Amino acid sequence: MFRDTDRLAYYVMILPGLVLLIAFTFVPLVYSVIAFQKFNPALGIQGSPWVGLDNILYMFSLRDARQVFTNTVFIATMKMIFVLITAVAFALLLNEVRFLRIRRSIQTMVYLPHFLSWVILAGILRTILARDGMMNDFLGIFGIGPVYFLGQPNIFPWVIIFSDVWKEFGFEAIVYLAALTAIDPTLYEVAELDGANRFQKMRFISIPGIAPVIVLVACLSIGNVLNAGFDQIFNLYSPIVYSTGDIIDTYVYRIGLIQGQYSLGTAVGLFKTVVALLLIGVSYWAAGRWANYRIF
Amino acid sequence: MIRRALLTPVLLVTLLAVVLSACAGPAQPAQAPAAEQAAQPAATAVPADVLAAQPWRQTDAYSPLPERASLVLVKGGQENASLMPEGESIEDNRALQYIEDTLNVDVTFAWVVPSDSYSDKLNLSIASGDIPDVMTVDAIQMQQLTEAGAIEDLTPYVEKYANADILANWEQTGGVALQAATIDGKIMGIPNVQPQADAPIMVWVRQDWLDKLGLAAPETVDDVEAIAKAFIEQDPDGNGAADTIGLTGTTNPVQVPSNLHGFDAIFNAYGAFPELFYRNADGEIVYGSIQPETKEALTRLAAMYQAGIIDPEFATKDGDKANEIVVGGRGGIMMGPWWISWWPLADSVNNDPNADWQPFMIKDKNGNYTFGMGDYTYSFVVVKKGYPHPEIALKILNVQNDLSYGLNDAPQYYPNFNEIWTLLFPIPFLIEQPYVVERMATEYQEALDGTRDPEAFSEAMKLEYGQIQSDIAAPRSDSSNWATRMARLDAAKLLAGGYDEVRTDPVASRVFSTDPTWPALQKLEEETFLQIITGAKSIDDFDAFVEEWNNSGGAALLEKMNQ
Repeated sequence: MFRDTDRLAYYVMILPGLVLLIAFTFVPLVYSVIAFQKFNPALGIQGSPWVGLDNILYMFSLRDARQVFTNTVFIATMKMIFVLITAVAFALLLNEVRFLRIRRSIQTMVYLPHFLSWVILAGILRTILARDGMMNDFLGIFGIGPVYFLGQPNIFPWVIIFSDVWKEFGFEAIVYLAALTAIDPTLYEVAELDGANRFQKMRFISIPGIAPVIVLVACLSIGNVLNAGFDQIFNLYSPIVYSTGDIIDTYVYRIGLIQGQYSLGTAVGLFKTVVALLLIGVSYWAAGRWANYRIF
Repeated sequence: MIRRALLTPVLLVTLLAVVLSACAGPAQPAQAPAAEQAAQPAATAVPADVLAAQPWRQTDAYSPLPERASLVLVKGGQENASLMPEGESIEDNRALQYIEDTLNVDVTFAWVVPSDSYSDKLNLSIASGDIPDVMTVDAIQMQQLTEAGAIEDLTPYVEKYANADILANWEQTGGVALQAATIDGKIMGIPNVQPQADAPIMVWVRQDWLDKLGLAAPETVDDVEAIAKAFIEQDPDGNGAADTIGLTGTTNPVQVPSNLHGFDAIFNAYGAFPELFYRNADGEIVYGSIQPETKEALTRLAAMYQAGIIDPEFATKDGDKANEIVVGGRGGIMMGPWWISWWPLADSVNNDPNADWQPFMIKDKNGNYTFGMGDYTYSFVVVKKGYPHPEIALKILNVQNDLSYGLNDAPQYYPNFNEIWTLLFPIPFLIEQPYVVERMATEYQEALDGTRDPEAFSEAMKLEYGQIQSDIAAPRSDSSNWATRMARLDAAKLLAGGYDEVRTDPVASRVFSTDPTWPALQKLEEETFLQIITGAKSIDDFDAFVEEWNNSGGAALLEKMNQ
C-alpha cells in the first residue's frame, strides 16, 4: 500500500522502536488489571480474586497517595517552568555572542550534563551539597549555614528542581537557538537602521520570533506533569524528606516492588497513567489551539 | 561478608554424638533393601556394601531414593563464583556430587541469579506457572503459594525425615520456628533458624582514644554521650582539627536485626522496642514504636542531635557513607552487632593499627541488659505440589547441615567453605542453632583456659582458634586475625554472659507482612522518627503520630493479632 519505496524504508526504520514501545508500554498496560485484584503471583492473573475498586478506594484514602501526588505535580511543574525560563534566557544571551567559536564551546559545555546519568550526578551532588562540601563552604563566606540540603523537607524539592534545571536547560536551549537562527536577518538590519539597540532588538524581534516555539514546548510539556524524574529523586532522597520529596514513581517502586503489594502499586501506577492520558489530550489540544501544532 | 559471619560449623564431638544416637533407630521397612539395590547397580549411587557398613545411610533421614529421581532447583547467589576451587561450579562440585550420590537424585538448576534479584525472579517463575520442585521462599510467598494450592503439605514428613540436629535446633526456638511455618494447622514449609546473636546492638569504642583522654569504659547511655562529647571536643586523634564525629547513624535509626550504626541499643536502654510486635505484661501484643518509652528515647536522641553528639548528616547517610567515618579515623564510636569487627572495623585497623576497637553492652535504666529480638525464622523451603518425593528436601537439608559441621564421611573440606557454601549446596539454606555464636565463644574461652581440648574442634573452629591465638600473641598485627578474635571471642562472650530478650511475636509477622496497610504505616514511622530526631518535628508530634498510626490501620492490625 506504500506509494513509494522511500516510505517503506522509513517504516522499517521505525519498526525496532515500535516493537520496544509495544513490548514495554502497551503490553504491561494490559496487565494493569491486577489493580482490580488481590494479586497472588502463584494464582496468576486468571486465578487471583477480583476485588473491584477496593485498591483504588484504599489508595484515595491514603494520606501518602495525596502527598505523593501533590509532590509530583509541584516538582514537575516547577522543573518545567524554570527549565523553560532558563533555556530561553540562555538562548537569547548566547545568540548575542559574536564569536562563533566561543558560542559553540559554551553550548557544548552546558548541554553536556544532559548526557550524564543521575546515578553519577547524584554522587557528585551529594559531595557538593554535604555539610563540609563546596556549596556550604561558599555560603559560609556570607555567614549562612551550614544548610542540610538533602535532609530538610522544605529545601529538598528545590534542590531537585534546580539540579534538574542545571542538567537540562542547555539541551532544551538547542530548540530555541535553532528557532533564533530561523528569524529573518533582514529584520535585525532594518531595526538597526531605525536605531534600535540590542535590548530593543531582543524585545521586539527575537522574543516574538521564537514565541510560537516557546508556546509549543510549554503546551507539549503539560503531558509530563506527572513525571517528576524517578532516577534523580531515587538517587537523592531518604525517608526524612518523604513528606516533600516522595513522588508517584518512587512510591510505586517501594510499595510494589520492595514491599510486594503488587495490586496497590499497580493501582497507583494506573491512576498516574489515566491522569497522564488526560493531560496529553489537553496538551495536544492546547498546542493545536495556540501554537498551530498538529500531528494528524 | 555477613553470611560468612553467620554460618558457623559447631563442635564436631557433640554433634557426632547426636547424629549417632539418631542413627540408632531401626531401618524403615519402606526403604529398598540392600539386596534389591545391588541387583540394579546403575540405579543406585550408594553401593550395597557401603549401605551395610554405614547403617545411618538407611535411616529415614538419609536413605537414598529407591529410584534415581530428577530434582529441578533454582538458586540466588552467584557472587562469589570466582572463589570456587579450580574445575568446580554451581552445577558440578564435590559437595553437590556427594549429596546426589548419597540420596540418589539428579539435581538441575532451572536458573541461577544474583541473590538480590532472587525474590523477583522467583515471583516471575511462580506467576508464569514454571515452579521448581523445591525452592526457598519468604513468609509472604509461602502464604501465597499455600492459598494457590501450589505446594505440598509437609506435615507428614517433617518429624519423620528431619535429623536429630535440625529437630533440636527447632526445639531450641521453643517451637516458634515450626509455628511460623504452619498455616491453618499444616506445616507448609521447612523453617530456617537465624542465629540470635545478630539482634543485640553493642557499642564499639576505640580504647586507644579512651585511654588517651583518660575516660572509663561506657556502661550507660549517659556514658556513651559523655564519651562522644569528649571525642568531638578533645581531638583524640591529635590532628589538631575539630573533625571528629560523635555518634554515627544512617537512614535506619531502628532495624532488627544487625543494624549497623543503629540507635537500637539506646531505644532498648529506655525499655523501648520499636518495630517489634511483642507481648506486654498482660500477655497482649503491643507495637513498640508507639509506646511512651519510645517517646522518651526519641526525646533523648533529639537532644543528642541538637547538641551535635550525633552526626548532623546521619539522616541522609547510607551504611557505606557511615562506614567511611569510622574506617577513615573520623569517629571513635560505632553501634552494631557482634560481627562488625570483620566489616567494617577491620578496614579501620588496616588503616591505623592503633585503632583498638572494643565492644561494650549498654545497661538499661534498671541496670540490666535487655535487647529487642526479631524472628527466629524468616525463610522457608517448600516443595511443589505433586513432586513424587517431598521428603527429599528434608534429606538434602540434613546432609547439608552435616557437611557444614564437617560431619559424616564428607568427602572434602573446602578451606574457604564460609565464603562459597551457598554455591556448593543445592539449596543454599541452613537450619542453625539459635545460640551457636554464644556457645562457640564459651568453647574458645575454655580452650584458652585449658579446660577444653582444641584438637577436638571442627576444622573451621580450629582455623578460627588459631587466628584468636595469633592475635592474642601480637594484637592487631593482622586485621583479619584481630577481627575474628574480637567477634568470636570478646563480643560473643559479652552475649554469652547473658541478657534479657523482648521478642517479636511469631503470629505478628505473618499478619503485618501481608497486610495492605503496612507499607503506609512503615513509611509514616520512618519519616516521623527521623524528623523528630533531627528536630524537623517537635517531640510533641509523637502523640499525633501515635494517633495517626492507630487510625491508618495500626489499631486494626493489633486487633487482628490479638484475636
